[in-house]
Amino acid sequence: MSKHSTPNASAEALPEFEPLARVYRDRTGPIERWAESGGKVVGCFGHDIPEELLIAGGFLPVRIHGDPEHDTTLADRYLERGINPLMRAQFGTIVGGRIPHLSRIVATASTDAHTRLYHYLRMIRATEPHMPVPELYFFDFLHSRTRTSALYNRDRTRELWRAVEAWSGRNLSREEVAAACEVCNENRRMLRELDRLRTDPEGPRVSGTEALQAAVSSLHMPRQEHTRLLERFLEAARRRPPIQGLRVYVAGSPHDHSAFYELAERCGAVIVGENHEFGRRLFSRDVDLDTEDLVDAIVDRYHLRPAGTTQTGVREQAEFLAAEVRRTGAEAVVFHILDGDDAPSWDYPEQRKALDEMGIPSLLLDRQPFRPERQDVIRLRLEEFVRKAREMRNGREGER
Amino acid sequence: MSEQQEGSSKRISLAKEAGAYQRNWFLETKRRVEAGEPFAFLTAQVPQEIFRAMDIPYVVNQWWSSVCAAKQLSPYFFGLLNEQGYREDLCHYCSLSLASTLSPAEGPWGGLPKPTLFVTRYSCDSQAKIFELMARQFGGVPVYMLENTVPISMPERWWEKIRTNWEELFDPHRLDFMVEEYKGLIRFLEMETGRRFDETKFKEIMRLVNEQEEWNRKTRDLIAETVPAPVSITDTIPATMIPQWHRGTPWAVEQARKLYEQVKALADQGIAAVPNERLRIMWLGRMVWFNMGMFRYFEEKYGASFIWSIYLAIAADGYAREGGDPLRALASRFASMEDILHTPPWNVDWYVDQARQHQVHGVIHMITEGHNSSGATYFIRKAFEKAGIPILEIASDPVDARRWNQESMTAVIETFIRERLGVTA
Repeated sequence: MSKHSTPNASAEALPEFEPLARVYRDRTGPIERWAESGGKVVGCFGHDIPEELLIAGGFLPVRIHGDPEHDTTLADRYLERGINPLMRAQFGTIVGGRIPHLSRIVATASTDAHTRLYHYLRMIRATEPHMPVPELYFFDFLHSRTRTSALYNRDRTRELWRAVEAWSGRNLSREEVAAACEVCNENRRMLRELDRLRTDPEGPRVSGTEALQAAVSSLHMPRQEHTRLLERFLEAARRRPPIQGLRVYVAGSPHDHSAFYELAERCGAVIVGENHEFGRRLFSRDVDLDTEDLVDAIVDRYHLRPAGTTQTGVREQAEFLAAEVRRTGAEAVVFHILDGDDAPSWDYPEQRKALDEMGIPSLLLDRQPFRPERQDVIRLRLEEFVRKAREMRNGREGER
Repeated sequence: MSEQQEGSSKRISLAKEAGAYQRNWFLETKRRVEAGEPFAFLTAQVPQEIFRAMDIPYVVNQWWSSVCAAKQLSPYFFGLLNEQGYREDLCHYCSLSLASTLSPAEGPWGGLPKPTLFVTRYSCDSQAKIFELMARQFGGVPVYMLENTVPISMPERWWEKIRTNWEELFDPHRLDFMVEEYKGLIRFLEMETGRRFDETKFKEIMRLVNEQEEWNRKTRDLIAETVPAPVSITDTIPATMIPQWHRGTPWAVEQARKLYEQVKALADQGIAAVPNERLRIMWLGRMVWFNMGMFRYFEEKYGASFIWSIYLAIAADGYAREGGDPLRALASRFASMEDILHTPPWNVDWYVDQARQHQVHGVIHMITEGHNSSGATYFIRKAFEKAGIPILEIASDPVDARRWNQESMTAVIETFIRERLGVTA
């Protein structure tokens, strides 16, 4: 991870953020501590896996992530050029054995590439047993919001419940799963509070860099501990003066690291939201513990939250982005799309049109690498964009 | 098919015949649609047999893309798409039809008729978006989406079981789910078009498909065992694929039968596609639809006979289903398409087995650039190397002629033939 990450240049650095930043920078630290205490770790490959069940089973769920400080030579051996660099980096993390103590990986069809790479991992296990690929489980979770999909997802979730029981060697009671759901709900509530501070009409109290690092760190440590650290940070952030900067929304591909956020915020932006998996999707909807069947509640949480760009049509994504811009009070949008990430590229022209109609300026940074490269070029484009967007904003305010 | 494709096929009459049939079928379909009949635009992963049983004419995305490419229209249409703000390197195979709707009258045979509805499947991240955009081009025509499930089981030598024991190859929950999806699709089609699903006709279509694919199997086996090969893939692809798009009709069965008989006659007479056959080559991956004439150069210069493509082979091994509930059998057919072609070990094991059966000397694997679905390239390469069969990987696009450099591609293939296969001109 980026060893030199800093919060927004215009934000006062808060010491209360450091424990979260530490987990963001060294994602193996909590895993080592968990393993030392005898706990087992499960890797989550994809973003639609109900971690509640894993937590109930006594496992530490950690998200498979890409690390920009490692090259992808090993992953390149297995992958076609069409696989985007984020997925390539995540695959590299697995085949490089870079997450210690993984007892198994649960994969899901969050994107087409997740499914494809799961098949490749399965082949590696079958034909190259020396490679450090742990046991695999596929959680076939469907995204279309139809009854047939909802029922299919319930069946698959029941299977996962039983699988977790088998892995942990004991039955999981409703009470245990409900308790795990409450742990995750509490963490989501805290992430929503963080989001509220980012979008404070008086001005953001949390930078985009902090928000992204906080979101990422939630997926690499025990959730209760994360909730506690986040609560402490938010208490301090509430007392902080608003962060100055052009309020920018980030659309496009997911970000496993904060290099782009840091760069954008050094250029005068403050990122107030994003439509990728570490934005609202991460903390939208709780598991409703009043539901009679917890499987219903768990599936609804994951199935009915805002859909990711790979899982929906163009119009829904354009409408979602427009609504997000209004909700967050964003003054501009930057599309950051990784090389080979087709889904957000199909969305872009219609999203751009919707923003034009709203009078929101936007910048397209297309075919981006996963590792920070050409930072000088990107910085110049961002600085120019922020300057022009500010002029537009000031012009509008002057007219009023 | 294009004149280029037809011109490359001199040995059998069927390619030309199928091309003429296809043209007439399109014109007749346009006339029917203009007269008020429904028309569906589908992707290849959608169960076309349902539409046939309901007498709803359809065109398949990949089919239309290949026709546009063969007519050398892809550079023009993709230029229009790029002008609309869409990136140049987005998946071309699935988006050429969308691009063609930006100037519909300039499409082959006057362009597609206006679809009554679109049906696709979430088989990749872009499908839903492309179909939605295309439906919008036609004024907001309804789009029906089918879900996509993922295989968990890893059966061995599926091609020996799939015709009769298909139920055991696929995870039961996937088939259960797909049958429910198909019931929903049928109801949707009934409501949208007023057409009725004819169960008796559907069973007959399924029977005709089995018959058609049995002829294809016999043709494939005959080519595999005949040295020198009586035909090449420039003969078999158009002669197979156009009937495949009309799968389950008496015409398609008849074409498949005639293909076998013509190939058999050539084999019996000892006529070879490449009289001085020195090499038998497997063309793995998608065809470059805009340049099927490219093979002639290697045939003439090196005696290289390109004898295998996925198109005849998948028809031979992937489609037939006997017994069981016909809708469930249909579900297993379409569950298998992704598995067989893009998912290891399903595809890897089959390809190597096919190479051995066809006595090939080398494999050229056309990897579709920028497309996730060129599945398992590494594992395919490794399996062929283990089998001692040299393999060359080339990266291109099946429909975008802008991404093909004839000179450099020819050089790469020639180097492979000379240095890996040991054949000089």
